[in-house]
Amino acid sequence: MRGFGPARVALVPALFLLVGCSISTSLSTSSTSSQSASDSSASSSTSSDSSSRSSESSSRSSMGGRERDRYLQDVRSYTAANVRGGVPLETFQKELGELARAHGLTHWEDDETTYLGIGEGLSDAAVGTAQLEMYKTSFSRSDPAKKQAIQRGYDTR
Amino acid sequence: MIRRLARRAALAALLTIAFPIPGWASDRFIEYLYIDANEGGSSGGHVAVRVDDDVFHFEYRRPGMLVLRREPFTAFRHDYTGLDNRTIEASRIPVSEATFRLVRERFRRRHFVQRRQLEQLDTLRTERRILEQMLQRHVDVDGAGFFSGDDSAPDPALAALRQQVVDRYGPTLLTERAETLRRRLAALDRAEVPDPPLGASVDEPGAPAYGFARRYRDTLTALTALEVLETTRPLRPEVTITAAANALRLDADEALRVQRLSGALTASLVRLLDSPRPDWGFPLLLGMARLATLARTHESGQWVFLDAFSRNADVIERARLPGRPELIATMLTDAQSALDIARGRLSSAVRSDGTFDERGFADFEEAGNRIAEIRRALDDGRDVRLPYFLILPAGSGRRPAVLAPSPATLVDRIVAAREREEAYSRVLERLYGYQLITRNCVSELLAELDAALLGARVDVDASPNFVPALSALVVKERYGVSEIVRIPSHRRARLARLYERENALRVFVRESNTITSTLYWRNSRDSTFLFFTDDVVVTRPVFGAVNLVTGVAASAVGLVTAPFDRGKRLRAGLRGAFFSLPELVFQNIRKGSFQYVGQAAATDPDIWH
Repeated sequence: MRGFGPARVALVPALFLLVGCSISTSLSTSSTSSQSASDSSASSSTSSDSSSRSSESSSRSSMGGRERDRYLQDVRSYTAANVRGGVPLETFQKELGELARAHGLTHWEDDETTYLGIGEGLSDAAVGTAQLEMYKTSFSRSDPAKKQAIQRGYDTR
Repeated sequence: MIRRLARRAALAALLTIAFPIPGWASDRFIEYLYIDANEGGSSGGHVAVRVDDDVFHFEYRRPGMLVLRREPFTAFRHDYTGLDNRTIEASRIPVSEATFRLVRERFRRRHFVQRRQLEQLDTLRTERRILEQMLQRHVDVDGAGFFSGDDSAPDPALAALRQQVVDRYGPTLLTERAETLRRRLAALDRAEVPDPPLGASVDEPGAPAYGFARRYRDTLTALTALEVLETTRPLRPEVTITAAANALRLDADEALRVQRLSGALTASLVRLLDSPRPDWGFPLLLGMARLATLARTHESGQWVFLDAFSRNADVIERARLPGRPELIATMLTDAQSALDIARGRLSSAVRSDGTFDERGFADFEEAGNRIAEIRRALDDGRDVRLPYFLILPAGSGRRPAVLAPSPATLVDRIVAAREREEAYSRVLERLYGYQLITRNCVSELLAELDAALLGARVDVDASPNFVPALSALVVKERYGVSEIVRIPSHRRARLARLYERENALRVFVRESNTITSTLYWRNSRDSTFLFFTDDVVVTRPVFGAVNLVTGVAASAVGLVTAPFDRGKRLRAGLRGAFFSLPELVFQNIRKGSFQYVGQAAATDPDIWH
C-alpha cells in the first residue's frame, strides 16, 4: 500500500480545505419526486427514491436471516419506545406499517417476526402481566399463534 | 508537555477502571475504519466503527446536519471499497464481552433516537406536502398507479378475489366499507392536528404522531383499493416487467406453485379487509397487483413481476453495452445467483399454516426484476437500469381529492404545517449541527468511543483529530489497537491479482490509464482524468501534470459543448483539473469509481496486513 501511511500527514493542510466526511446521498424521504407517495418513515428506501445505494433497512435482496433480525430489532425498539411513551394503538399500528414497509413487508400482521419483536419490546419496556395481556389481545386479535409469538418474544429477553 | 503526560496518566487510570478484565481475555474486538479519500462525497476521507456486523458512521446531510447511519458491514464494504473504489484501513481494538456490548448498545441507541427524530421531521414534511396537494385538488396515492382506468375490461384474478370477499363478508361489504370511509373523510376535517414536537435530545426519541393529512391520504388509499376491487380493473402493462429468458420460464412444478401462491395471497387479502390497521389500503392494492401478475404468469408460462426499479435508477446506456460484456456477465451472474436462492425459498412461500410469505415472494420478485431487466436490455437494445434502487413496488398514482376541507382552511393548515416543520428542523440542526473542525464525522465517533471505552470524553483542544486521515493515529494511541488490516479498493485488489498472473511492466502500462485499462470503465460521475495515481508515488507528479492538462483540455471542449450537454463535460473537466493539483505534490485523492461491482467482490478475502 504505497502512499498510504505517513504520507497522509502531509495531506493535512489540503484536507482543511476539503469536506472531511462522507456526504449523505440519502435524500429526504418524502421527496415530491419520489416514486412513492408513502410516508417516509423508518428508512429512506422503500418509501421513496433514496439515492443512497445501501440505505438502512433498504436491501430487499437480503431478506434472509440477517434482514429478518434487523426487522425484529427495529420492531422491538419501536415497541419499547411507544409503550414507554404511551403512544395510542392506532398510531403504533401506523408506525409498524411504515417500519415493515421499510423492510419490504406490507402485510406485517401475517408475519410472526412482528409479534416476536413486539413481545421483546414489551419486555424491554418492563410491562407487567396485565399490560402484557392487554397488548397480546390487541395485536393478536385473539389469534393463539400470534399471542404465543408475543409471549415467546417477551420471555426471551 | 506536562499537561499531555498528565492526560495520558489519567487515561491509563481510566483504562484500568474501564477494563477490570483485560480486553485481550476476550475474543471480541471492535474496528475503527478509516476510508481513504476519493473525489465526490468525501475528498477528505471518512471514518466509521464496526461492531460485529454493524457499521456505524456519521454522514453530513444538507443543509448541515450530522446523521448517524447503521449498515451491515457487507453493504458498507461493497459501497466504499467497491463502487467508490476506496481502501479501508481497519484498526482492531480488543475489548471484553461487556465492553463490546456496551459499545454496540450505545451506538444502536443513539442511532435509534436520531432515526426516530428524523422520521418525525419527515412526517411533518409529508403532512405539509399532502395538504399542498389537497389544495391542488389531487393527492398522490400509492398503489393507485398499478391499475388502468374504470372503463377497462375486468381482470379475472381480481374478479375471483372479489367473489371470495363477497362469500366471506357478504354482498354489501364493499359498498358499506366505502361509505364508512367517505364518512371518515368528512369527519377528518374536524380532527385535531397533533401538537408539534416541543424539543429533542440525543437521549430520548420523540413520540410519533398520526396527523390529519396522513390520515386523509390513508383513508383515500383505502377507498381507492375498494374501488379497484369493486371494478376489478386490470393492471397497466407498463407497471410489469418480464423477459423471454429461460430463467424466468415456468416448469410444471412451478405452475402448481403459482396456483398455491395465488391461493395464499388471495386468502391474505381477504383477511386484510378485516384488519383494524389504519393503513390497509396500500397493502391491499399491492397485493391485488401481485395477484394479477401471478395470473399473467400462469397464463403465459413466463414469470411476470411488478416493476421494482426506481424511476431515478442509474443506467448503463445501450450504446455502451457491447463494449463491456464482462460487466453484463457479472450482473447476470449476480442476478441468476439471487434468483436461484430466492427460487429455493419460494417453494416455502406458502407457509405450513397456508399463509402467504411476503418476504420470500418479495425476494423472488426482486431477483426476477434483475434478470428480466438485463435480458430485456440485451434482446430489445434498451438501457440497463442498475439494480441498486430496487424498491417495494409503489405504483404511485394521482387521484382527485374528495371531501377535502375548504381552500381557506387548507391554506391555514399549510402555513401552520410549514411553521412546525421549520421549527423542528431548526431544533434538529441545533442538536446535530455539523462543524468542519469541532463537530464532524470523526469528532462524533471519537466522542462516542471515549464515552463507551473510557467513560468520559477526552479533551481534544486544538488537536488535528478532526481530520479523518489522522484520526486512526489517535485511535491507535488512545484505545490500544492490536492490529491494523487493510481492505483494498476494488481496483487495487484486482490490480494486485493481475500483477501476480501477468508481466508486471505490461500490467503497469496497460492499467495505469483510463483508456487501455481493463479494470476500469469510465463512470459518468468521475471527473475527466487520464492516469491513475493512487497506486504510484514516484510518477505521481508527472501523471498529475498530464491529468491537469487533460482536465483543462476537457474543460475547453466542455465550454463548446455546454449548450448541448448542460455543462456536463465542462464540470467533469474542471473537477478533473482540480483533483489533479494534489497529485503535483505527491498526494492522491481521485481513484475513479465504478457503476457496478459484483456481489462476490464485496466478500473477497482480500485483506492486506
